[in-house]
Amino acid sequence: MAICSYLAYAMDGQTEQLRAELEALEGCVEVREAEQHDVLIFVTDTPSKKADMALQEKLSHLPSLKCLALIFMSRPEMLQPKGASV
Amino acid sequence: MSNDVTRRDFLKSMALSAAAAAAATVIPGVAFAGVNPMKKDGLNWHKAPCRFCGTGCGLLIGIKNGRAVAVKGDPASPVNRGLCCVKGYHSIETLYAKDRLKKAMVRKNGKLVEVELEEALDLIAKRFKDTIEKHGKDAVAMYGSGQWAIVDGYAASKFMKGGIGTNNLEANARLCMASAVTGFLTGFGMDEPMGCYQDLDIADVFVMWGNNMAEMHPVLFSRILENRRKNPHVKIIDLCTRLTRTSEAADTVMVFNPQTDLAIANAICHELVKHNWLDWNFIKKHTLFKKGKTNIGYGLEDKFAFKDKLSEMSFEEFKKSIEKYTPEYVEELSGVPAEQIRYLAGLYGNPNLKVMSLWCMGMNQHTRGTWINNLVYNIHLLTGKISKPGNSPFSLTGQPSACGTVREVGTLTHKLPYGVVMSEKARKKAAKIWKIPVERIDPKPSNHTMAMFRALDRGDIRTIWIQCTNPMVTLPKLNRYRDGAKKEDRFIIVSDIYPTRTTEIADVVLPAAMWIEREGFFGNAERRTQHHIKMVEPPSRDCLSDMEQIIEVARRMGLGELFDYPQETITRDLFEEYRQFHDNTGHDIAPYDELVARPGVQWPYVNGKEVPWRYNEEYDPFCKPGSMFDFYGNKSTHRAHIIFRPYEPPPEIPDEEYPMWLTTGRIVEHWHTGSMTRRVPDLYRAAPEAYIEIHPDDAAEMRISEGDLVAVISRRGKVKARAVINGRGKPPRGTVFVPFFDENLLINEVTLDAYCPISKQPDYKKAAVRIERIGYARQAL
Repeated sequence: MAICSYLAYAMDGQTEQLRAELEALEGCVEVREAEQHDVLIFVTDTPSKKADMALQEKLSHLPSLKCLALIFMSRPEMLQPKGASV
Repeated sequence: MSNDVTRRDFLKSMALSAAAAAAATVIPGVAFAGVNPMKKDGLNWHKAPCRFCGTGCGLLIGIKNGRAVAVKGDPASPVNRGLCCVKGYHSIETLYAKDRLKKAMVRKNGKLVEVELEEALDLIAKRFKDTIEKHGKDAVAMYGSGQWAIVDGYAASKFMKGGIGTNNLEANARLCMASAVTGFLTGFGMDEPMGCYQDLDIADVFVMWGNNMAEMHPVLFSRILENRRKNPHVKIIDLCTRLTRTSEAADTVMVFNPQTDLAIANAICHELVKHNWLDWNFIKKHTLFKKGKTNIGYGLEDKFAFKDKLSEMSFEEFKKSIEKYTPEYVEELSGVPAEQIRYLAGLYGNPNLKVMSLWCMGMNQHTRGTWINNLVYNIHLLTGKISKPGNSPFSLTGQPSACGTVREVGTLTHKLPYGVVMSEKARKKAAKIWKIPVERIDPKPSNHTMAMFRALDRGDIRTIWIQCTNPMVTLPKLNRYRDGAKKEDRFIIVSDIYPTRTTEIADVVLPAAMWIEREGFFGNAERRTQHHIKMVEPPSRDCLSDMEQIIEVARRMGLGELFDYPQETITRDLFEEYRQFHDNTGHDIAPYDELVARPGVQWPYVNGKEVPWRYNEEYDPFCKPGSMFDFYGNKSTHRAHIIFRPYEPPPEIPDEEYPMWLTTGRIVEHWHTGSMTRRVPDLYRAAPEAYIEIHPDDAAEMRISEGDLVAVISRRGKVKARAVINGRGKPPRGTVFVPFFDENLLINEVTLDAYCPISKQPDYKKAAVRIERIGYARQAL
């Protein structure tokens, strides 16, 4: 149920591979590669807590990922009046 | 779209921006393609390179209800990192002036009258065909621009060289950077700089060779100033022929007599050799000493022909050639004190200092433009200060795609998109990609720009199509070429966005779609190709892009098969076709999708990586392994050329009748002929009209006061201008300066059409004139 963004460092020379692996993840909605650096930022949007946990699990096993930092997390439903759709 | 969805999108946008901001705190200067500030106020923001100079600043354009309403610098652009100059911030206003051309016009009974677009396009095709039938294929010509998008220039090249089979294709970049091109080609065998803008942040010393960078490339100059602010040892040296805003910011200013930059560069080499401030390891492994022809003329005569020939020379011969250029001898010639010349040589020669040389029109618009480019490279090659971060001879450019279109696509008489027309291999490659018989490509270059307008005057050329440029303001010795264009049985077609001095003489005027009214690509001065989408509609459906106009005429001439792509993807398809020319050449350009996603990508682009410093094995995959440096453009030797060039005087120097130097140029508020920027109210108010800068002592001698009306008279013509004394620019005694942005003050009626015999680029910086006061300040022009 969360929108998150992360900063991800790729293993040396594996930026393209990391980008491809991130883009293939269910819930990953946007990946941007840094110019001239082996670093990416990406945004995830998951529909449920279960999907969120599954995504976290997959992220922790990406072979081309060296380091990951969670930068932003928002649960839009928490910001809405009760009963409002998100 | 519901509010809920908008809210979720807003949060995603915020998440992306937060991640980008966090990355920037860890890695200063890091940029992520396409990460735009969040949407606010209902604006859709899109990236585009700036429409004006060759810096290639990334802009974000805010679109609302189909109209460009806001502009700001793109923080993701590595060129400008969010900053713009005054022209960039006002750039979108150039789309919306009241007198925008919206209808085609044809001259009937001496007057331009509005017609349907179809009629105008039919007439152009008929006139092209009739001219070719009656006078031959070389009686038609096309004259384009460094403001052409890459696909415009590519379509023009394919149409003229691959379709009609004439090499009568030129562009206004001949007037602004041809000498830079021949400088690169003679020295390195390949065009365009080896360094990049990152050098501005790294170098310790910046030498401006006749270059008012503070006004002409202010965003890049701000990077130098920031470097100096952080590193107080950083020095800016201004070598100039008149004091400018760059001089005000410089640590040392050296004012030299026009043309003597040739002697100063040789004097620096003299000092480097004398003190053995040489990088012998680099010289021995990576360079060859050469010399060219001397007393090469000035191109003043019609059908002037010259071909340079480089021959080998030894270091000892080189040393002997520069022997006479002692600082004392050059002081006499140039007016720059010998001590200052020694100081400058010492900066270049200090192995602990990284030095960047920067130049633009001062060195390029020069009757020895190729030579002075060679000489500055000599300094860097002798000291090994080249192709390394911060050690960079760097030729700046004045138009947004003079590099990307004119130089790289090759919209010049001798060029093809890859190689030159004289090369059978290049012709075969073009014929294969264009799917035409190779015999259709003429192996002989025809007319460079000055020769083209001389041919129009003589009648050798009868029909010329001018796109996206204003030669009836910019050509030197303008009276001759305007009169020539107006002669009987000359047919002038002009594509532009506003009425100009050039549309005034046209037989057909086509209204054009500009910049973000169509999809396009530019290429900037640091080998960066930049894409923008179509963001807004042009002001009328008759406003086609220059590429579309060319294709429409080609179809009418039976050459439609050259452009046989679906309408909706033709820009992408033509660009991808063009890219084939550069595959695996050292000029490999990023693919379309990559350019769409990012604010610009440098070439050569290999395996997903850009090359910031060419010819350096550490960065450039085209270098031979183990070479350290590999100047592979010189295919047989892989070495750069140190070319001795002497000082030779200009063709015209002040005398009793015309006792003053005239130099011309630009100012920060206006871009080139002002046809766009003079229509932006704030820019117009900031600098409403051109003027003549005069030294206070000269003014006093001639009893000229601030604001007085004076005549500027040369052997070619006479113009009137208001005097400015102690203005933003301060010429030395005996020199006056007039900017060329004002179509009501056509200073090129006074300038001389002499050019560099190698590059064929005219010299707008040196003419002999006489000044006369003809009215007082209060009198109207």
